[in-house]
Amino acid sequence: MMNIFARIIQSFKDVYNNRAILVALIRRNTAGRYKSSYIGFIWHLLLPVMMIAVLTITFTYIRPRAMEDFWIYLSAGIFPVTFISNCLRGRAIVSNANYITKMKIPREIIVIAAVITEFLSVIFAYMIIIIVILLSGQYVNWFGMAMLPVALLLMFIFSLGSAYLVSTITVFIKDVGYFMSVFMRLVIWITPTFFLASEAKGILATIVWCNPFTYYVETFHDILYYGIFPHVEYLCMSIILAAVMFLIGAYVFFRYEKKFPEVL
Amino acid sequence: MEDNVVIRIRGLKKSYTIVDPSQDNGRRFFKNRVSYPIFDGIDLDIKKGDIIGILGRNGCGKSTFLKIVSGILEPDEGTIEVEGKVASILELSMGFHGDLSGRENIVLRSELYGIPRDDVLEHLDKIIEYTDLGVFIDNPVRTYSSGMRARLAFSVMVNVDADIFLIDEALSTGDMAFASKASEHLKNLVRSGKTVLFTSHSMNTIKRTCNRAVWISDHTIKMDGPADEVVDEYARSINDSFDETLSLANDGSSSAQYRIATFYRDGNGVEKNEDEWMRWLNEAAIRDHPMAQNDLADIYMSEGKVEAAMEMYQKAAENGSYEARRKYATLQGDTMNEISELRSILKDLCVSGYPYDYCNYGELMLKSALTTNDYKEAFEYLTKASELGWTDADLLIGQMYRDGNGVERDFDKSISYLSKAAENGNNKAMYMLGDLYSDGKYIKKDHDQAFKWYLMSASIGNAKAQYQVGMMLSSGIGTEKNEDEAKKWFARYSSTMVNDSRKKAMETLRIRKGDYELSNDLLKAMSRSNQPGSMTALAYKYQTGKGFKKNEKAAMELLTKASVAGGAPRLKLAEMIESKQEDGEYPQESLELIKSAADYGDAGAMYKLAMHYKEGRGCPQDTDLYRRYMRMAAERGNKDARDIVKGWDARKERRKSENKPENKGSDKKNPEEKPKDN
Repeated sequence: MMNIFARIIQSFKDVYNNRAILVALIRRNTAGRYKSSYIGFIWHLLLPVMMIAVLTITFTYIRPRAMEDFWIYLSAGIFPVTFISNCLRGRAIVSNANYITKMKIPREIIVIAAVITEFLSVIFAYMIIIIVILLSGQYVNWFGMAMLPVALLLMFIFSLGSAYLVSTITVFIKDVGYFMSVFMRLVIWITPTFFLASEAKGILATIVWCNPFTYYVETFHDILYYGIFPHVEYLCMSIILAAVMFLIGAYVFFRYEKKFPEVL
Repeated sequence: MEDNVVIRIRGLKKSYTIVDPSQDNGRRFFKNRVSYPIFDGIDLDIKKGDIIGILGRNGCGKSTFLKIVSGILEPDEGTIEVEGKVASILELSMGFHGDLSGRENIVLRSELYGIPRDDVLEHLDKIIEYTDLGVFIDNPVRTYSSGMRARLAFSVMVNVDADIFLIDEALSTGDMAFASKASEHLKNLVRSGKTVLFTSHSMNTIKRTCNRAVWISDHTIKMDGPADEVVDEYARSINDSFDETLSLANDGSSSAQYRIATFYRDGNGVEKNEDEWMRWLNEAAIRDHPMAQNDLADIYMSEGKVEAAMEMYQKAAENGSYEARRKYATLQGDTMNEISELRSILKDLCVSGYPYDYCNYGELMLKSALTTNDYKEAFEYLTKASELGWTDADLLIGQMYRDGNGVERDFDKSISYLSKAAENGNNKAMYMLGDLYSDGKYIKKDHDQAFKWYLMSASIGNAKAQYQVGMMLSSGIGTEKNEDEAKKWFARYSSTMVNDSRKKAMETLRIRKGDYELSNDLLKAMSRSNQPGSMTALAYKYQTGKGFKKNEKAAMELLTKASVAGGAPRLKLAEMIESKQEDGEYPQESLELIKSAADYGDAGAMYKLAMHYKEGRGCPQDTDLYRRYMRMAAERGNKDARDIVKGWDARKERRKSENKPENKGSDKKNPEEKPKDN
């Protein structure tokens, strides 16, 4: 059994030494995404705005909810959940097989670049939400707000770990990738995004609180919607889940990465 | 590492897991997997400044090899030491984002190769200029053709700084101008002390670009050496191997299809199968393979389908087959009657049993052959002539074996027949052998042998051979490098080229102006270019002192040189040796020379040999041989011989008319005369 901690430290060094490649890959992913459209890069900002607008319109006029400023609750949850579920689709390695089979680079860079690319859209969306909150003069708990980067980082580590795990499995068993893309839709519905966690009763409550996503999303709800310092138990669960997931993911990834070029 | 070795591989083993081929896995849900060895113990040292081409069939492991060297794949066993920074350009279109422009992709790719962004931006204009993409550089890469992508990718590579470059199939796309630009760049890299490994299916590219080639086959390095040698060997293995050819044939290569057809026809590497033979012949003929069309037409011809054959011959002729052209013309021009008349005349003459007649008939059959049976007959008669020691026949048989006309292709036999002819002084055969050995298409390349035969041919005045010898000497192939000797041969070549004019000048001078001196100078010049006729003539002059100072030694030297050519010079040499021998035994050397000259077809030598047999000079008396050679000499137009033979015939006629019942005795004595008596 390899020393996973030593390997992770080694990996940090590798990635740092090849940070230019990491940046290039992220730039490729982001710059390339809306390239052939007319307004190009603006879509990165425009899409979250439109998404928030659609959610607001839907839950204010079409399916009105009695809650005040329900759009903040919705958008604080929907972007992180989308991010985590995108990371868990496990396509990172498979769809970049070319880089794995044809280039001598630290292979984890591919996964990290993919996760960061997804993460950027959460950052953009949150920037817009915070700007709107500030402009509309809502109450802001600055202690809570200070915890936002920490919470985001924890979510990032959790997602990176799960991306390591699922994308490694997907390399060997392609079926997992297809299964996950459907399974993630279910997970979104058992995460408190369109409903309140407290609304879940009985068996549903158990399921919701067994879902690791819930702790991250509830932390964001605390900070952005309720305007309080996030519940410490949520934070603790976030830390534990992130650490466990990252260790498992990294272990599996580094255990099998050498086989990638042969299997892909 | 010592000795400038930058890549050292020892005992490299690598295997992949593949679906178990022994089971019917196509229908199974869970497929069993087994280990399949790609490399089974490879040792290789690559030196700094090498530019190495890696050859092998698809799937032999070329790309895997490069991946292992680059560190993308890890070997199962063995070690690889690599010294220096490695840039692996394993796929040219890798890392391109279709929606980004060419310009943006250059930056992206350069960054992926580890070039700092600032450096790229600084050199961007230079790189763009190198791509030659002009106005397209700001268009999305997805709109590019594959050749344009290759150009884009390669121009990025030009800027990559590394010590070792690994390039997979890089030069096979792009137009010719770009390919030569790229291969020039590789050479520049090597000149500046870099090392390049690249794979390619284009054997010409490897020959042109690399100094060394490695051929991977059967899980190991099959051959490693100078690029052109390895490429030739590889090319031949593909030509000879049934499986490789079959897969090429299935891919639609007409020449491979034709080869497969001949494999089936001859049972070479596969069981003989007439249906398969016909099938592949048809396939190749459909794809306009001239030899296949010609063969097919031959088959139609032997089946009596003249019209179909004509059509096929015409197609083959249009596709460049001289043979088909001749056959088509023969059929079209209605000269078949003429030819068959000629055939029957020559065939009748064969009853004489002389090799000369056999050979003439065989040659006619070969030249006018329409069907395989014609070829077979030609072969049969030529073999008879050859068995009787006729040199011209050896040459023709050698050719037939080489081309597979009427006989199964057999290069060993072809070589042995040609060598026999060449050793007896046949210039054409010498040159042909030189070509066979230096070409390496049919037999293993052997520069030493090639040089030997070219030199022999050149030394008796074959201009093309003189040029080849010059080339080989100047580049040191097949012999030691010798610029001075090379120059001499080039001079001979150029002087041989003008010999015809010299001959005319010489004759005109002598006849019209009576200027013997100048004419003699020209003769000297001609003999300097090793033309055997001129050498013999000059030797004769030296020997007799006509127009020259008598100089027997010079004459002897000239004749010895010329005697390689067989025929008259050998006879003359024999005469000189004989005249020098003062008393006692007749020199055997001389007799041997006469014999070989007679075999070559020199009538004077035949006459002389006949006289030897009659008188028992240097050999036992032999009336049969005496009569036989005398008749042969007469047939070939020797005046003295003719007089003697006429005398025999007249006597015989007389005897016949005098006492008819008693002529049996002479029949038994001279079996050749039998048919004439009847």
